[in-house]
Amino acid sequence: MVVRKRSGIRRRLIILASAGGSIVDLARGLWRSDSGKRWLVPLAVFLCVFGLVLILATTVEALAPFIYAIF
Amino acid sequence: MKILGLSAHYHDSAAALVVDGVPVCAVQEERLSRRKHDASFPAAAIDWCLEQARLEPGDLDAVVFYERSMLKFERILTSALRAFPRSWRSFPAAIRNTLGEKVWVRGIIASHLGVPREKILFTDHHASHAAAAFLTAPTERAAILTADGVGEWATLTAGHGVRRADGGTAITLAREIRFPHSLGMLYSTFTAYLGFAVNEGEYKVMGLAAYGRPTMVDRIGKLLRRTPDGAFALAQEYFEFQTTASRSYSSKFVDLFGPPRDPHEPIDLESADGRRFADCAASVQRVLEDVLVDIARALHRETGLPDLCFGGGVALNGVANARVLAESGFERVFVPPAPGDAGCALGAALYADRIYFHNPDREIPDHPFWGPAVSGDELARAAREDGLRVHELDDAALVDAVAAELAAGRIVGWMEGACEFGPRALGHRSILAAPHARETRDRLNRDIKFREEFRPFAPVVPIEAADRFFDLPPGGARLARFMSGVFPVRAEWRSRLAAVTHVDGSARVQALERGMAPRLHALLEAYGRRTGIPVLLNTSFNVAGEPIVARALEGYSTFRRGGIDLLVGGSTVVAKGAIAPAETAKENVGWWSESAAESGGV
Repeated sequence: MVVRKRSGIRRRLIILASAGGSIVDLARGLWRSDSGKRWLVPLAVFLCVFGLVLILATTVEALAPFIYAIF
Repeated sequence: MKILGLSAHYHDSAAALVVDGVPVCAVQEERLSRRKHDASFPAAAIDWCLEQARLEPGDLDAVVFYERSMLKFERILTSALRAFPRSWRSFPAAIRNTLGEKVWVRGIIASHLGVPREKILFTDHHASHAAAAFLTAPTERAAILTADGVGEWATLTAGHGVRRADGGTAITLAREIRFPHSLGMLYSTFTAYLGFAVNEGEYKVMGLAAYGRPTMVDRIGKLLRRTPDGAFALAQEYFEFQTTASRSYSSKFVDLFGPPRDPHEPIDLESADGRRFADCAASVQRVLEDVLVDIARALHRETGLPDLCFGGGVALNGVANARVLAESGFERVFVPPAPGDAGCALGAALYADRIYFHNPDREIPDHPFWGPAVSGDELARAAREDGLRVHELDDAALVDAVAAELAAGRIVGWMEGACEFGPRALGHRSILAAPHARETRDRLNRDIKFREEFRPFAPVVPIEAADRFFDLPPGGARLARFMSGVFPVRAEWRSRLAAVTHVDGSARVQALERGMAPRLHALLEAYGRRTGIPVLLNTSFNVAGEPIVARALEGYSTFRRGGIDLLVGGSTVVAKGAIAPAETAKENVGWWSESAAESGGV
């Protein structure tokens, strides 16, 4: 096995850490698109952040009750 | 430079490794995980590729993902909003599905491989298809056409590629048709309507089409409108793939074509409904072909090039490919062995190498064998443990013995070297049989492959003899190299090639060059010497619902469970104990009875 085996928590934390850049890429792409999709930026960012919060809830189980309490 | 290409998350995930501009290995995740069309992140495939090349993830110069996942997310979001309020049911599921994993590809790759962010690159989905088609084809300049269900936004692209004298490479996709207007989605919608699984049953629609007549072309004209610029548009009121994941056709579609087929009911071609379904398949097949021919013809006029490289899932449609070759004006049509999404892993890696990093072009071996190799020792060990007869033979003896068995009507599991990359068995993981009797086809369908009886089997023939048995047009042999075209069986041979001749007199023939699979080529010649017909039935080595076997033990397991008589893996031959050797084999080849006696066969 040459691919490193990491725990689920560690992998999700890496995903969370890199998500900011991905969201910025998405927002930048929508902002610059010539098909008039700037209005989509807030919704797209909101949904991405929402998705990240859910990933966080499954990653750090101790936080889950607090996160789900928000909803 | 070491570049790893990946495709994942929709269907047929795969990994491909390109070192110094040349593929080193490539494998679909399903071949290792043993889950058909496995779409999960290809961790096992990556692991195998790196192990094969003795590399650590840190040695990689780049990891390239085959599409831009964020752009895809934008398309899903926009489509859902556009279809609101009809999409309100599917919206949460689509968003949850996408945000759960598919959109965070950079993080997922980083978490699995531990490579820094700047080494993770993305290509456009259709650029990956185009690269897989053009950069693997032995041509300097070619028009490029890609067509599938959908990538990010594009569903069909057209352009051209050039390898310059200075070693540079350029791929230009000048035009595209965007979602929701998609030939692939049209075909998949009919696939679902006809009761087959989308992304898997399209082959069945193509096979069923031969039984029907294209009587509904006019009706399909209401669904697919041709536009003045030579493109097409789908009338959205007939489709629901934008609004729900559970059904791709609308009630209006059902009003037009009648009730859909119950997937659990077999197709009875004698019944009115059975004929209607066959006519439906024939009609959508005809429309697909007509549109592709028109687009390819326009592309030929525009580029003036003799070669076309055709990629994307639609390029798996061999009947359409043959018509494109015959009617578009192109002299040669190159379809890679893995034109679908799995092949995008290789396409993405090559695209990054040639276009992103501007590395000079390198010649790529013109074969599909990039996967795990088979081990005859492993096979022998497993068979001996089970008390089966095992024979170790040199190439000449093995070829002669297997040809005798095939001539005697035995069905042979044939494993050799590295397994194929792509959905087709092209001679390294095949089930082989005599092509002459329809009963062989029925036996294969019923006892070994467990699949619908209307589905045809493909023949394999040495390229030198292909014209004698099949009516190949100029350029047809190239298309037949990777079994990418369907061509007529010559009328005088149809009765003697009944097991591989479809109901309309056609066959999806593989024309085998000696250099691509020398031992299979030798087997065909040996079989030809015995029977006068150097043609064999060649079907993928798997049973319905399972991926093609990759390793010896998987082949052995399939051999034990099904009605295969003889299994070949490398230089090892295993025979089932319960089967008596054929008379002809006993007469012609001494190995069977002698070895059976030696090992005390069961």
